[in-house]
Parts: sequence; C-alpha cells; structure tokens
Amino acid sequence: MMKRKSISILVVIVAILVVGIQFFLPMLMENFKGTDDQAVGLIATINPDYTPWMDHFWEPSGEWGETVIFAFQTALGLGVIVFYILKNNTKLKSKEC
Amino acid sequence: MYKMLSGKKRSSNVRGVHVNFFIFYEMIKNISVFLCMLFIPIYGFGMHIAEGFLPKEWAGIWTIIFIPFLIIGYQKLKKQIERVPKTKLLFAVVCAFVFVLSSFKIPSVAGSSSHLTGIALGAILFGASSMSVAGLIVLLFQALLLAHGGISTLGANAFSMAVVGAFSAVWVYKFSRFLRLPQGLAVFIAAFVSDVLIYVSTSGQLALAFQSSSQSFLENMTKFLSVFAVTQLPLAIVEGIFTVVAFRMIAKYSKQELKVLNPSLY
Repeated sequence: MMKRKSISILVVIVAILVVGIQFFLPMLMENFKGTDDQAVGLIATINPDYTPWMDHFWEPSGEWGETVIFAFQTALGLGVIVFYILKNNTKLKSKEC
Repeated sequence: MYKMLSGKKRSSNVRGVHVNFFIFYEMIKNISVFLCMLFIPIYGFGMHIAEGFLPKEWAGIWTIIFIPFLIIGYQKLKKQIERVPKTKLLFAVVCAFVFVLSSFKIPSVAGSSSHLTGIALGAILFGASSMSVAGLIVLLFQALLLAHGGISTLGANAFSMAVVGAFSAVWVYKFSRFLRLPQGLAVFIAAFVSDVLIYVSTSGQLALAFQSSSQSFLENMTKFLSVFAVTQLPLAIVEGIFTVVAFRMIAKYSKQELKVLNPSLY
C-alpha cells in the first residue's frame, strides 16, 4: 500500500513537472528548429532550384490541430501500454495468491 | 469514489478524512496524467524526410527496396503470432512504444530538436524484419494525420527506421551479448546505435538524392550529418534509457511468451 502510494505521488509530481515544463518550453525553444525543418533548409541551399513535387493530402488546421493529433498518438500508445501493465499485474497477483 | 458516494458511515472521523483524501488524490493523479498526455507533444516536428523532398526517382527506388523487407517482415510476424498467440498484445505494446517515443519532440544541446524512434525494443524482442510492419504503421499514421514525413517518402523513411534501425539494433545487441556485456547495457547500446544510424541513413538518402557535379555525395553527407546526427547523439542516450526500462518491464511481465518467441533473451 505504501509502495503504491509512493509511486502514485511520483506519477503526480512527474505529470505536473511535464505539464509545467511544456509551458516554459516555447521560451526555451524559441530558436530550436526541428531537424526536418533544418534539412529542408539545407536542401534549399544545396539545390535552390528544387521544388517538392508532392504535397500532403491533409494537414491539421489551426494552432492546436497538430498538438491534439500528437496527443492522440501519445494517448493511444500510452493506453495500450497501461492496459498491458494492468493486465499483467493482475495476472502476477493472481499467481502469487 | 464509489465509497464516497455510497454514503457509507466511517467508523471514525480520522479514517473518513484519510479515505476522502485518497480519493481526491487519485482524482488529481488521473487528471494530471491526462494533462501530461495532452501536453507532452506540444510541438510536433517530424524526424523524417518531408513530403515531396525526395526526387521522384529516388522515392521510387527506396519504396522498391523497402517492399521485400515488408513482405518478409509480415510473413515472419504472422508465423510468430500463430506460434505464440499471446504475442499479439506484446506486438501491440512494441508498436505503442514506437508511437509514444516518436511523438516526443525533445530539445537537444546541439540547439535544435528531434524525435526518438523506439524501434530497437521491438527489434530485439521480435527480430528485425518484423519491425518493418510496426515502422510502416507509425509512419503511415504520421504521414496521413500529422503531415510529418510523407507518402512519397514512406519507402525511404521506412527503410531508415524499420530496416537500418531495426537490423542495427539486433546486430549490436547480439554482438554486445557475445562480448558478455550485461543485458541492460546491451539493450542500451543497441538502442543508442540504432537511433543514431536511423539518422545517418536519412542523411545518406538525402546526400545521394541531391548529389550533383558541384556537390559530391560526401560533401552532402557531411552537411546532412551535421544537421541530424549531432542533434541526435544526446537524444540517443535518452532513447537508450527508455528502451532499457521498457525492455525490463516486458521481460518481467511476458517472460513465458518471450522464452518461446526468442529463447536467446534468457
């Protein structure tokens, strides 16, 4: 019970830290370009005449569109992992009993 | 929550306060985790070659190169799941790990940011060729819904991630174990090397595609490596750590399945 409580406290602290850090990240990462953007810039330098021959079928719209879909991706992955952990925890506990 | 709402009387006020605090605490924890999941990927930049940024001929070549790996990987995965049906959930966990890690954009001390890959875990557990399926699923998801990577560059990105990344992870893991290194360290090194080589491969693909009379392959490779690999080195350390944690968790929970699926792990 105490170990579960300690883990729960740790989860809360980590979650609050992550949320807090993400709000400060825009200030810290103002000049932090993604590597794919840098690569696109480099292609323009190496071959200024090159133009992309295909565009995306669909792009998330609005400021939060991409964030929401990335969050969905993360939530989907975390959901599967949490399900796996819970299922196996139950299995281990029933074996111990 | 049920106990709170059911109106059951407590034997003492102290116990009642303790239970209500625990319920409130669980609620805060769940809300925090949800907020964490919502806000973690606040910035989404892809790690792949963007849509249309590989000339047509090269996009076609890499797609043709990747297809046999996909076919072999699918057949191998199908046989593994038929042999050990419980590995279906395990494969889902491995894909989920790739999903989660590739959604994190992490700043690097190099002054830019990039993504982790997560491919090494599945490669070590299931074998390298099976990861072509996982890699394709993730890349397709990101190309269609997030406008990261692309359909035209799917073959090239999948080759880098799910072939170069996966095979290098397996070979480095096996070589590390051959050298009698502890399993955790072997997993870490495999994940580290795999992460870096994915980006080296991407650099190579771009260098090949954009070489000309004025820009040789080696010159281009150096330029692209300076963008990708330098950023990725510190992130590869993070990936190694995450992979070791995930590997230990899976080795503990799915010991029986892994003993049948990949006896060399034990």
